[in-house]
Amino acid sequence: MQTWDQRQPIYQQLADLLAAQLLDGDPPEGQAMPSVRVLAGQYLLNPLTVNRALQALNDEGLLESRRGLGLYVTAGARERLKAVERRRFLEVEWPRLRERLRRLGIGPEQLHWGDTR
Amino acid sequence: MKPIPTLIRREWLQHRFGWSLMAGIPLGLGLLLVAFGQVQVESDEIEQAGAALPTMLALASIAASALLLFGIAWLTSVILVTGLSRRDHADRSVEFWLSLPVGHVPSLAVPLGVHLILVPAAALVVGLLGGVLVSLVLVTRVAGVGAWFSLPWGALLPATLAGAGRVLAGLPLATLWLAPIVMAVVLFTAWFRRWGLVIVAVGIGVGSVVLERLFGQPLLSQAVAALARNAGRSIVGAGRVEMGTHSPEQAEAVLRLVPGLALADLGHAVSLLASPLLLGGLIVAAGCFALLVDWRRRGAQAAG
Amino acid sequence: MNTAITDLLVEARALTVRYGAKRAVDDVSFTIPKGRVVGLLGHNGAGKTTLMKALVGLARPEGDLRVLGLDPRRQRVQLLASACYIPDVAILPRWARVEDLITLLSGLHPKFSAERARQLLRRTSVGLGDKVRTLSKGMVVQAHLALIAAIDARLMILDEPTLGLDVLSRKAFYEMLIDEWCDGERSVVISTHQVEEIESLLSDVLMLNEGKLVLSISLGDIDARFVALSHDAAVAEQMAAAHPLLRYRTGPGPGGNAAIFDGPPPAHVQALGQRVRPSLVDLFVALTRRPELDRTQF
Repeated sequence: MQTWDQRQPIYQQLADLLAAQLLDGDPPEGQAMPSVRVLAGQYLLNPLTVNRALQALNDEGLLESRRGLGLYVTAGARERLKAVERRRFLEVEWPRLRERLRRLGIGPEQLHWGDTR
Repeated sequence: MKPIPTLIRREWLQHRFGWSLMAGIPLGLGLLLVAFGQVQVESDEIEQAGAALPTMLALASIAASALLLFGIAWLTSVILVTGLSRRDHADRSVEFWLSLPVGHVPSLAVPLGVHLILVPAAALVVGLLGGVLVSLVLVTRVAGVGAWFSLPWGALLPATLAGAGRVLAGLPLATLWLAPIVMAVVLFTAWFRRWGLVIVAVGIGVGSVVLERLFGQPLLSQAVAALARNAGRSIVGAGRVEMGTHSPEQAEAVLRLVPGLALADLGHAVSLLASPLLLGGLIVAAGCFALLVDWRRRGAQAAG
Repeated sequence: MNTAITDLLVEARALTVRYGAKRAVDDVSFTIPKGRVVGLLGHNGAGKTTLMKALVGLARPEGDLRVLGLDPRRQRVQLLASACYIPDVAILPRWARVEDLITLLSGLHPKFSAERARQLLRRTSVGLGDKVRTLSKGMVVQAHLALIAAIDARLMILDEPTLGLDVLSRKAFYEMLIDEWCDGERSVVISTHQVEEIESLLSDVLMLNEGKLVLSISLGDIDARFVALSHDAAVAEQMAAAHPLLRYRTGPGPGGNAAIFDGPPPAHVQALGQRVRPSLVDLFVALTRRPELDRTQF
């Protein structure tokens, strides 16, 4: 069973999880989000919590509500998410990583940037 | 959704195996006995009976089967009923029954009715039918199969049906007479588990002795005795009939009298009902039932 | 038709249940709207079972109590036709076969669907012809839950329904709970010791301690009201000085300390640690080991 950690409210953790999936294109833009019931059953959460998570994504403009049809992934959601992730990395994670690299004495030549995965 | 038939169904589902044994074993043994057993009969009785012997044997086997099964069933039911209030407590299933939308009154009354009236009645009918089978075997063994077919069924059938009807009609009456004692036991076993029976027995015993010796009031013991007596009379009346039979025709004549006698006896039993003792008994029984309902309403607490 | 159907399925006001001199439920007030999954938490003997019994008319309460608009004591049969109650999962009649129980429930409960029951039982390892007596404890629980789930009730009152079930069966039960009962019209009241597992399913929580209601709150409001701060051992003294409800360890090492406050602590205290989510378990421990705390109402 999915375990939820202590750091954030559960609905927020679910919203982040769903956002990460959106970033991977699941579901793709223009497609419908799975229903509240399906998500509730999948993650074993109270539907009210699922609703809150979807509402949060809706508020961020990643999902839009189509009358009578439910929630759909907005066009450009992936780009927007990618932009948010990019900014978070550059503003928070990268400085930390850079500090660590400096401490370890690793320079850019040792990073093998050109290597393919 | 029908609560009362379903409650009756519950008794059947829970006890069908035991009931089948209770009917099957005596009948089976009886059949084996008449088919292969040695029967000791006084030779002068056989001479007396003469050609009426097959009829008497048939009547005897049918009556014996019916009354035997009836008696066994009634006794078993009475024993079962004394433990009725606590029967679902051992496996705690009483909480399951209490969680269902069924009233306390039907939950308590239906099992009482089933065990005290329906079951002995059904046993009587099964015994009757089994008795016919036994009579076939017995008469065939004594006088050949033809004798069985040439029995005076025209008189025999109404007589046995009248007899059975008399007992069946008398059963509810007898139950009314015994109601106060039965309900007192059911109530006290609800309150005090197995000690309930002891308490009632000792209470009646000690109570009557105390009342008689100390207060000169033999009421209690007389009342209890009268209740028991009248209950018995409800089943089979006080009429005694001498039947001497020497010939098949005489036997037939006597048999033809039976329905009328049974009806008259039933009338006599019904007339017994108009008695203050019965009224008092029913009030006591009703009071015990009300207390029983109240006990169940409290969630049948103090279980375990 | 029942004209008393409102959006509040349960209304309790100053509810008290006495057993002799002892108050098993002491002056408890709360409401349960439709569409909720309410966790009833408390130690053994805190009054959870008594409260549930009162909801279905099996206890004698003082105060006001209306369930589905009815008086549970006086209208018990009518109430139980639209509610279903599991007092304990180990109480199926041992002499019966599972098929017998389906027959009996069909005749005794107006909202029971025999077909649904058989469908749900097919998903378990319990056979229709099995005698309850021969089933293991876990299978009895599965059978009981399947039978109950086949009842189309508005209010489900379940007293420790997952006792004796293994993880997979518990998961199946939670899935069934969400699929069948979370449609916004029904409500479920469930008491359990598996607080961590069930936390994500709940929408509301009622916490009882020694008969008194120490918390009646929705899960969303918990995050708003209670502040949990994770901090280093170095600032433990200062944390303690701010009188949290509870201080506890979240893990090994110097950073694994936490404290829960009812309401936001002063800003300088908040700066000492990092805000985390107060888990239901920790909140439960915090509120039920301090009986001298006032009753907190919402």
